[in-house]
Formats: sequence, structure tokens, C-alpha cells
Amino acid sequence: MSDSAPPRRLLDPGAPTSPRLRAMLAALRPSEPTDEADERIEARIFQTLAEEAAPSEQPPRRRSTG
Amino acid sequence: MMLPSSDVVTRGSAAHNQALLARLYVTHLREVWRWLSTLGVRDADIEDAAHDVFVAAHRSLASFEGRSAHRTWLFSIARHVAIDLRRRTQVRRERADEAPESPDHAPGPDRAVEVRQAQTILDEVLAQLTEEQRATFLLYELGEYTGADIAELMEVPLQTVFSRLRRAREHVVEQSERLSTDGKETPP
Repeated sequence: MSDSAPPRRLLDPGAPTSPRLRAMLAALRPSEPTDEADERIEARIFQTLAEEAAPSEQPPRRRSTG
Repeated sequence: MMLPSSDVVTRGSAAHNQALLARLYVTHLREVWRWLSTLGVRDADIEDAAHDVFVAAHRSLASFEGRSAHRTWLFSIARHVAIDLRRRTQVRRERADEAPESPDHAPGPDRAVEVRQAQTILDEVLAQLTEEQRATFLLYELGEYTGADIAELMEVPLQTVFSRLRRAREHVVEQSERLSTDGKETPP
């Protein structure tokens, strides 16, 4: 194989890969976000940003009693 | 998304950055998710990881100089989030048995077992690769990115992508065959 030639994917049928390795890689194909997950992440991001933007509350100073 | 348009607010202001982040989110969430999933972040952790990517991006917006495309920049953040998460997961796994995936995201029981086994074996096999070889291998073999796309994402020459890929897959094929042989029961 030349260094610049694109190698064949191990998942390709007919690629020199053991069936076990091919099955393992196939099981790990990337997932996609659902619309609900998309909404949850978006809400959490902007909640985090809002919390970070809000001035941190200082605990009230204790008055000296003496 | 109820955020001001970046056209009507001062560049670099908090409102501008939020509007820019909102645009980045809409444009890139699906791919950020795909990168995280491809790089080995488990389904149960991807929402947290995606949140971390965009919050980290927001924190770095002020210092983003536009020397790379937003997509490349986000990929770099996602890769670091995935690496960090993997290290923390390894530490957690060493301390206690891994908790099961949350039912909200977990695939069916058979599929979950299959995925967990495959992930465990692949984690073991890929552990000896450099982070660059690992990412290149996963993006190419699982993410189905082309060499040119990986070169753009990782900001390296195409030749480097193929050389990393070649070393990684030689290692993976050799190690997975060894694991496969080790796992076979010897006949009496």
C-alpha cells in the first residue's frame, strides 16, 4: 500500500479483517442525538451560562458581637 | 432559541458570544455528538460531554482568533473532553465496578451487552496507541470520515493521517487476533 493511498476500511466486506473484529467495530458505530437529547443539552448549556454570568452570592458577614 | 442576533450586538460582548454559541450549537451539535460517540464516549455520558464541549467553547470564544474553522476548533475541544472523560472513567473503573448505563439512553439489553463487550475489548486494544493514532483510527473506521476530512479536523497533512492509520490498524488487527485466540477455550 502506498502511503498516500486511502486504505480500505476494516468494516468493508472483503477487507482483510477477522469476522470478530468486524463485528466488534460494527457494534460501536456512532450514535445520533434524539430531538429530546438536543433540547436537554441546549437547556443545560444556557442554564450553566446563566449561572456563571450571575454574580456569585457572598455569604452575609457575621456581625461581631463583642 | 431566544437569543439576540449576533448582528445587533457588540462583537465580543456577552450577548454576542451567547448568540455565536447558539449558532454554533445549532450548526454543530449533531457532529459534536458523532465525534464524541466515535471517540468512545458512552451513550450514557454523551449529553454531559456535549454540554461540556459547548460550555468550554463559550469560555474560549474570547480567545478564539479564527486561525482555524469553528468546526476544527470544536473538534479539538470535543477530542479533549473525550480524552478527559475516558481517563476519569478508567480511574472510576479501577476503583469500582462500572455502573450500568442509564435506562434513558441505554440500548436494548442484548445490544447493550454487545456494545459493552466490544467497548471493553477495543479500549484494551487501543490503550497502547497514541491519542492521535487512536482518534485517527476511530474516526476512519467507525466515524467513516475520509482521510482528507480527518486531516482537516486534526490539522495535519493527509500523509500523517494515513501513516497513523496504518500503524493503528496493524496494532488493532494483531491485538484483536491475540485477544480472540486468548479467549478461545482449548479442547481437552
